Amino acid sequence: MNRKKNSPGLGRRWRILRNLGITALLGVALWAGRGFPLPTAELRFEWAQRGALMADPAPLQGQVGSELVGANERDIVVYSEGSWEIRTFPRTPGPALVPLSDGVVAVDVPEGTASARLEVTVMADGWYVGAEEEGMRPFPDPTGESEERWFGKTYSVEGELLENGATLFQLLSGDSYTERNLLHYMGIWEYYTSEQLPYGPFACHMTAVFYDENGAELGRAELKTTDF
Amino acid sequence: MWYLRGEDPTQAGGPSEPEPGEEVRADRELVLTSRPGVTAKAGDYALEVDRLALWRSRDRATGQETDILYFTLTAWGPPWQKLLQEPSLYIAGTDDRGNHYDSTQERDFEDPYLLVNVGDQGMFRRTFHVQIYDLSRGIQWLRLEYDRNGTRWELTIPLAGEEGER
Repeated sequence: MNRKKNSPGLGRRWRILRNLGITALLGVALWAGRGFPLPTAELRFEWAQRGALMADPAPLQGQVGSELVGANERDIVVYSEGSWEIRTFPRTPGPALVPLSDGVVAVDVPEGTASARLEVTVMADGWYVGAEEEGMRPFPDPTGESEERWFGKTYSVEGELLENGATLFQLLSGDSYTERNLLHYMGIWEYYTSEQLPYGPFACHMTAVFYDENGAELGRAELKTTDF
Repeated sequence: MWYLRGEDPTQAGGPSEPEPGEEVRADRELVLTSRPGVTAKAGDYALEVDRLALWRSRDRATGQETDILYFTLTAWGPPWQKLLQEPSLYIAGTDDRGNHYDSTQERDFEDPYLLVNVGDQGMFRRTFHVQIYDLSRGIQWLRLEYDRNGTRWELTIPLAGEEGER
C-alpha cells in the first residue's frame, strides 16, 4: 500500500531500473569526486602510456613503490605514478634489467623462474671514493685510460618475484654516505645509455641469473654502464 | 597565465602597461587574433587549436622586428587520464615556406622553436600554451607535426588574415 503511494504509476520493474540508475549516477559522482582513479595498476599503467601517446602500450610486469614497470620489444617502460612523463630504457632481447631508485628490476624473466640472484659492482674513481671508505675495495680503471685505482663495492642479492612477472632486486646502502651516492648513481640512466657522463666518473656492471625450482639455471641478463 | 604579466594575447587591446619603473625595450603590436578551431586525432585524444594571436615586437634600440605567435592547444580525452605533458614537448612545426621550428625538447637554440607550457585543465581536457618566437614574416600557415612512439599526427593552423580580430 505504502509503495503505491510513494511511486504512483511505477511498476516494480521500473522502480528497480530507476534505483539502479540513481545508484549508477551516485557511483559516477563519487568516482568523479575522487578524480576518476583507475582501480588497478595494470589500467593505470596502460592509460599512462596512452596519455603519453604510445601506440603500443607495454603490459605491466611489476610495481615497485610508485613505479610501474613493463616492457615491449624495444624498451623497458617505467611510469612513476603522478609523473608528467613515461620513461623508456633501451633493452636487449630476453630477460633485461633496468635500475630504479629502489633497486634493479628484471623484466621478461624466463618462464619457470623460481628464484634469481643479482651481482652488482658499482665504482667511482679514486678522487670521489677513497680507499679508507668503509667496505670499499680497489678496482682497475674500467675505462682503461689510466693506471689510477677506482674504488667501489660488489653486492649479491636475492630477487623477489613480483606479482606481474618481473623480479625486483633491492639494494640496501646502509649508513655510508659514499655507498648511498654510488647506488644513487647506479639509478641514473644516462650512465648506461649515453657516452656523455651526466656526473662524475662512475661505472657499474650487473648480472642477474635466473633459476628454476630445482636450482637449474634458466637464463641470464646483463647490464653495464658505457664506461665498462 | 602565459603572456606578458598575465595578459591574454587573444584579446585584442594589446599588452598591459609596463610596471612603474620598468624599462620598456620593445613596442608590441597585435597583428592577428583568430579562433582557428582546427583539430587532429592523436591516439585516444582529440587536439584543437582554439585560440591564436600574432604579435609583432619592435626593439626600441635597434628597430628590429620580431613576430611572436601564441596559441592554445587543447587536448580532449577521458577524464581518468589526461594527456601527459611529455608529448607536447616533442611537437615541431613547418610553415608554408618550408621553415622548420624545433620542438621544445629537441631545440638547438639556433632555429626558432615551439615553447610549450601546461595550462589549465578541466574534466575532459588539458590545455597547452604554445609560443613561437621569431616566426617567419608573412607565412600563410603553420603545420604542427608529431611523430613519436608509433603515434603520428599533423595539424595545420591557418595564419592568413587581416590585421586585428578576424
